[in-house]
Amino acid sequence: MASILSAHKICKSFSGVQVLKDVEFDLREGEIHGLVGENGAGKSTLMKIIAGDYKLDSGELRFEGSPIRLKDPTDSLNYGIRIIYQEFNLVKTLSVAENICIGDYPRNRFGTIDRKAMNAEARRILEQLGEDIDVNRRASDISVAQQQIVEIAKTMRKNCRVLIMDEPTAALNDQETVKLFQLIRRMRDNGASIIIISHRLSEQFELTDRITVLRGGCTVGTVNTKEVSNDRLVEMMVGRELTEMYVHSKHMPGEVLLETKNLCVDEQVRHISLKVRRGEVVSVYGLMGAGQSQLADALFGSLRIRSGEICYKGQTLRMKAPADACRAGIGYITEDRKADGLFGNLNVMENVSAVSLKRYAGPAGVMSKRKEREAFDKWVKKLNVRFGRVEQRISSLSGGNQQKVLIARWLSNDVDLLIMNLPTRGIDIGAKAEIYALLDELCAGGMGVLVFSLEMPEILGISDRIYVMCDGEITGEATSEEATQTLLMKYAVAKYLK
Amino acid sequence: MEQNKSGTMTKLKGFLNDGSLLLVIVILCMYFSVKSPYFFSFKNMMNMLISVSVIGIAATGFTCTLIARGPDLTTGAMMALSSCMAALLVSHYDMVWYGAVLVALGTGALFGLANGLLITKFQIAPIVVTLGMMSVVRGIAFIFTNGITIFITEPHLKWFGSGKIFGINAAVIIMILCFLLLSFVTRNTIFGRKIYACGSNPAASRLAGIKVNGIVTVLFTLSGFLSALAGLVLAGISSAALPSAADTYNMDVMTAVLLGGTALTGGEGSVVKTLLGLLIIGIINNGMALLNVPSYWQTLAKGALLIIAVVYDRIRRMMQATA
Repeated sequence: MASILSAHKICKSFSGVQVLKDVEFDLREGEIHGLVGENGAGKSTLMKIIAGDYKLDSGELRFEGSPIRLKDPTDSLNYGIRIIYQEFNLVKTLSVAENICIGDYPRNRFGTIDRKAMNAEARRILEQLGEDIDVNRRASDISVAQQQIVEIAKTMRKNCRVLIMDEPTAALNDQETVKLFQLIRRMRDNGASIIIISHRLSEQFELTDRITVLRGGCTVGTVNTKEVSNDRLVEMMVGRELTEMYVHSKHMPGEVLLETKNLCVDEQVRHISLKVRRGEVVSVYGLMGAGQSQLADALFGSLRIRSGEICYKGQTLRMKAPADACRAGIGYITEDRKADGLFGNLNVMENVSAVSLKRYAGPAGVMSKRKEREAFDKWVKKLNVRFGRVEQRISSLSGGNQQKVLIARWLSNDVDLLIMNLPTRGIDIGAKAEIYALLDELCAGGMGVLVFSLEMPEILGISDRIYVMCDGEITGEATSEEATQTLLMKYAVAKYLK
Repeated sequence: MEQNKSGTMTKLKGFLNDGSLLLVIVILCMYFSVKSPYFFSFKNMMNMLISVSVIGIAATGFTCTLIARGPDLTTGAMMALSSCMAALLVSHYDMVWYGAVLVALGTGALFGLANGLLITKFQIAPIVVTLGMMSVVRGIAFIFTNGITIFITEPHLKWFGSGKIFGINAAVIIMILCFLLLSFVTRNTIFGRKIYACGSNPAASRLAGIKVNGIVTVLFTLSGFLSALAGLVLAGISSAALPSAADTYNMDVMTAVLLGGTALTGGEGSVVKTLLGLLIIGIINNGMALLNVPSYWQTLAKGALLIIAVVYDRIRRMMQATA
């Protein structure tokens, strides 16, 4: 197969920091090509260069063998290069058809938009994709999976030779993912060449023909998907063998920290009874949408409970707001770091001390900067948070370091129980391993940890006990010795089988 | 090696962040001093400070509400109402001066509280609530006074504008105290930290155990109180209270605060920088008046300056973003 798009010796720096160094990349005509690497490996930068969004410092892009220069995104569109970002670029207030035809609406003879032609055009493209979406609906009213289809339809309208998709399945459930993959394969069979950026290696194995691995801004290599093993790929990504990804040692469980008795949150989440003891990592597994997030929110007082009881350290805990949970000594890491965890325009230290302010203040509420700094130094050292200056905005840190800052926020308030919802979402492998090790250490120190996760290997790797939820109820419980992927999955679909 | 280079960069950026307003002030002062020898005299500087004191007092509270959630547009109207109330209660209802002052300040706090509660209980945008309240308060001022001007003869009420402590005008001292106090509170107290947290990310604040609604309510109450205080100073300076007073002050307060770099999007800003923004406005107005530039040009200069400042701020941020 001939090469359609290739990159040679691409270098790119941002204000002195080299992000890409002599990167080689080759996309063949009619293949699905996976691009993997830890966060910060340079995947997005490389793709933005190919899409004409960033200018390269040195090196060369070739399209069908001949060198090309891209000054801006329009240039790449002329070559038929399209990119769908992880955050979609749909105008939520416009209709599906308006979004698909955006930028080049069909006109009637008065020069205004020919809605009929536009809708017909949109319908035609969606039909080609084998999709049935009402083109008159507003983009905000359709599901995430449908929004993705609309994004693809947008790219299909004009000639599309190369399609780049950044984490296309991040927001999709399993069935939607299967459907998307079918669609991607069909596009390949119709002659498009596709680049898939995804953390999920299983998807890379399922979908791609070849995979290129980037690490630290350099190309590690390109492999045929059929000829590579999962372990080998991970090794290429991290540059070392990660046999000890999950750290989990057995601790003597102590007193019961958290206990719920027949807890009902709303219609969706019912009859939850669970226990977390000191020195334990307890996990809650479930397929997406089984009610884990609501449960996590309720345990932290962020959602009001309808009936039942939450006991903490043997006493009933009535919570009106998260402030009550904070006071009791519970910490909570939410699933969406950016939306409801981080204070984006505050600095690293202010982010750490947000909960524990009282500890650094006198009776009048006047803060001691020295005390605050001491505590901060202690925790960032313990958690190995990597940052430049204390005054640096938290938003400039990598996902892994942001997550560590959020953990430090709670630890600095001496919490006894840490609830973590999707603890390693959007975090590179190195930082993941560090967080697992940290959780183990915290338990050894007598804390209790309650993890909500969608990743089965993670749950099996770090938990002492596992609860499984299905359709808002707990359908099974297993110890780490009993638990297997099959068993957990059996519980996770228990109510769907009947 | 790298350390050193980035160190200088940091310093440069730090200066762009913090030093640029100061630099503008120094340049303006130098320019006007050369043009008019009277400019840098104690008397003129004091006049300049008196002229911005009313705006300055209100701007301290405004800065805090803007950092936490949004603008308090009731400010100007509240000044008018509080000055009218104090003057009228003393002259027509024979109330003792401190009683009138307390009632005026209390009224300011009360309307501020109403703003805060409407914003937090019904989750309405502050700009909407305070815009409505602006008209309500202004209307009350007119109804209360029947639209007439009340001249102030009571010496204590006059003191707010023209009294002197160690040769410094009371209006200026009150303003400086407000700046000192709120700058301390925002920088050095738990409450101050929570203000920034609320503005930066309300959802995260709630989950960090911060009572966002309480803080926002307190801030709007405070802003109402400070506006009322500014109104008393205004009445003292002009020896009169009129319900139509301070009608452009909202915008002047906002200009000073934005010039100082407080972001409309929340979570960013500082009371000290508001003071610098305020001084720039004061110096320009004062200097231009000394040079006999017609006041129309002062208005134009103020607007142009704000736009330049915001553009400058954008450029600075873009530089930061690429760093």
